[in-house]
Amino acid sequence: MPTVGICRGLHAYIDFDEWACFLEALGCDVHLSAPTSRSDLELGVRMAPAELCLPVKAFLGQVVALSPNVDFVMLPRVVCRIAGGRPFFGCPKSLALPDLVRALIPDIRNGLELLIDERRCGLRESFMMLARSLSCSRTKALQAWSRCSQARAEGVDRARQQDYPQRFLKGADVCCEDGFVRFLPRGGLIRRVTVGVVAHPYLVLDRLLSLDLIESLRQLGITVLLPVPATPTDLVSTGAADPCGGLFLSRTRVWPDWLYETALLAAAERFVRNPAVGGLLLVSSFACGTAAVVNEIIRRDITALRSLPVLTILLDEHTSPAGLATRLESFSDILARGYDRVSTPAGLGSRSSGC
Amino acid sequence: MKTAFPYMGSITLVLQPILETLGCQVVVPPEPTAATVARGARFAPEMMCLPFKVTLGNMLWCVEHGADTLVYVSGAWSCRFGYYGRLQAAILRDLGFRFDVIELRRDALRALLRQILVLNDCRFGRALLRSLQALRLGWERSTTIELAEELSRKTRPRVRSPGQCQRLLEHVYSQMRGMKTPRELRRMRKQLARSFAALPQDTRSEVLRVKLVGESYCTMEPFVNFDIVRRLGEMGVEVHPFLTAHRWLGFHGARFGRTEVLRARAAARVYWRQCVGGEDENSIGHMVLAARQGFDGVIHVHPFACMPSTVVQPAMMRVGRDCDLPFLSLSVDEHTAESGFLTRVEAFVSLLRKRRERRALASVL
Repeated sequence: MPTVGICRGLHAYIDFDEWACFLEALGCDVHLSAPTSRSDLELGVRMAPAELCLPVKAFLGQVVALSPNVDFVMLPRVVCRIAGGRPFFGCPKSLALPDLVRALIPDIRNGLELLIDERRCGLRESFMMLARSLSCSRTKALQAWSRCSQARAEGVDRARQQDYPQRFLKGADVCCEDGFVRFLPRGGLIRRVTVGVVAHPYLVLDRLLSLDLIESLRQLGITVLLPVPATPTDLVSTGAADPCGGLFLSRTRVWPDWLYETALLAAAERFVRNPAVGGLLLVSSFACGTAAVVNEIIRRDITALRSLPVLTILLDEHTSPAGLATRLESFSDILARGYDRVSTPAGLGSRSSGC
Repeated sequence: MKTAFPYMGSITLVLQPILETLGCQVVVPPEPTAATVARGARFAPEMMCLPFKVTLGNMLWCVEHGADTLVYVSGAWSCRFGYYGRLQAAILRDLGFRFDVIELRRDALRALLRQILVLNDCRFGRALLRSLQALRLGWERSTTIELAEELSRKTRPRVRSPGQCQRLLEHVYSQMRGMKTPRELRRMRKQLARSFAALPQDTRSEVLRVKLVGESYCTMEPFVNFDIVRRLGEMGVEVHPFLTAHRWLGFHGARFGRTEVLRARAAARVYWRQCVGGEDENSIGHMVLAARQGFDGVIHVHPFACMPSTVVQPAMMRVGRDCDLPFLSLSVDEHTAESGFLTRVEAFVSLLRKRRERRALASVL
């Protein structure tokens, strides 16, 4: 059976389990690309238009690196998912990803398109079309689908929560709890500060693209909370959000129709409601169009629930690690001092925060 | 009810009488200036696209001048355009203004019809009559503007003094503002061709033909695109924008535009299979059609960091390579300098002129 390559970038951070499960049930060998390397990124940056966001540039580099080694490269086109009766759309880059790849890499012949548009056909039919592209019979595809559904019912979600960070952040000692991944401080310095990071998983969990942001925060003695990557369907099924006027939509005046941004807003609201979280870190890539809207909603509506320090970080291929480190250090100092001021009775002065 | 809508090229001239006929008072924002953009950019998210900032500046002016209902075209889709109304309303409300928002979207059609009924004291007959009158007046104005602009685009590169052509177009606009009946507009339309033909012609230089594609606001609003249609006309280039006020308002589609849209979509199919918004599919389709129709080049204008326009660029470059069609992509934001923008346009036009000369020489040899 053919080998299908899945690029580590973009959707794989959220949907890899489902795709891999289906392809393996079909009898394919699934090959996940290596973590983004400097050469992948440089390749992507060289070929892509300057205004494209960083994760897409990295994805393009991964496609070029992966395609000669596999029979097919998965090119997902996630257009629309329905959750709670409402449609949620991918961002334009997600909608046009296969076209973009074909335009920039004209000699790619082994692209395998997975079209997910639940307005037109259900998820099952999307996977049936994928199986047809792999010349598999419908019967076999249906068997694979039922095996995949069974695995999901038996707790793929749970497996995803627990395996997920280990898979993409190798060696990270982390724990999963209540829809969040908790990264504990590392090194000698421990500050009693917890920061909630609101960012797309494909940006913040890629150590090269995010300039190892999570690790930098841990080295500063900060506990980092990251939402487990989820689609609106996951959020609805776990009760974390009700897109028909539940947890966060009742609070925000501008509700998103974007697929992954819904999870970001839900996470931001849960961070703000959690008194242990001392600050919010909004991390996005430069020229990420959805982040411009989502960060504004968080700033205007969600942080109105509780005032807490918010740091916005934009990442691109020119961001320097030194500049990022300086900003993170000053943010952690602000948080540590704020914590002491709140927790120390007035007049007793500043207590040591372990700095 | 004092309504306001964002300023967008000559669309303002059509929407204003439509809303007035429906029974609204209209607060018309002034043409955008650097001050409008500066005010919009001050309150808008930094990474938002330029049309958001300009229209926010417009709406800020409108609510300061008494508008109590803001009208936005909106929708739920992948492009940020769908969020303009909601996000701008939140920003303006945080600044302390109070107003209602009408979103023109498919799923809010019922609310819109109810609003029209309320405007007409809940009398269905009157509401229907006024709606028909408004549509007729809008249609006549839109058709007249379409014709005047088309004539000006064709005439400008061919006259001895392009300034005269511009003055004539502005005269047409100012006359139109005073016209309240369809009959006056029809009479004016009949005279337009003669008026433009009367301008002294210059037959010495050869006229280039360029297709203008891109994001709708950047294609249609002269302030944002540095009046590229006029500037190119003055350089001796006949510009064909793929989108005009008439087409954007749907009047074109109501009669015969549908086939054009379908034709453009079919032409784009090889390169682009999924519409993502921001006129991406139309831009590619019209670029392919432009190559077939023998245009000299294509200019693509879009806001900086516009998501659909950015992803569509590689496909457009590929069309340019496949069809041997020169292609210039220009992104604009609040920091874009007019001189830098025009220098690039001038260089592109020189390139097109040389290319045509070279081809003419090759065909002679």
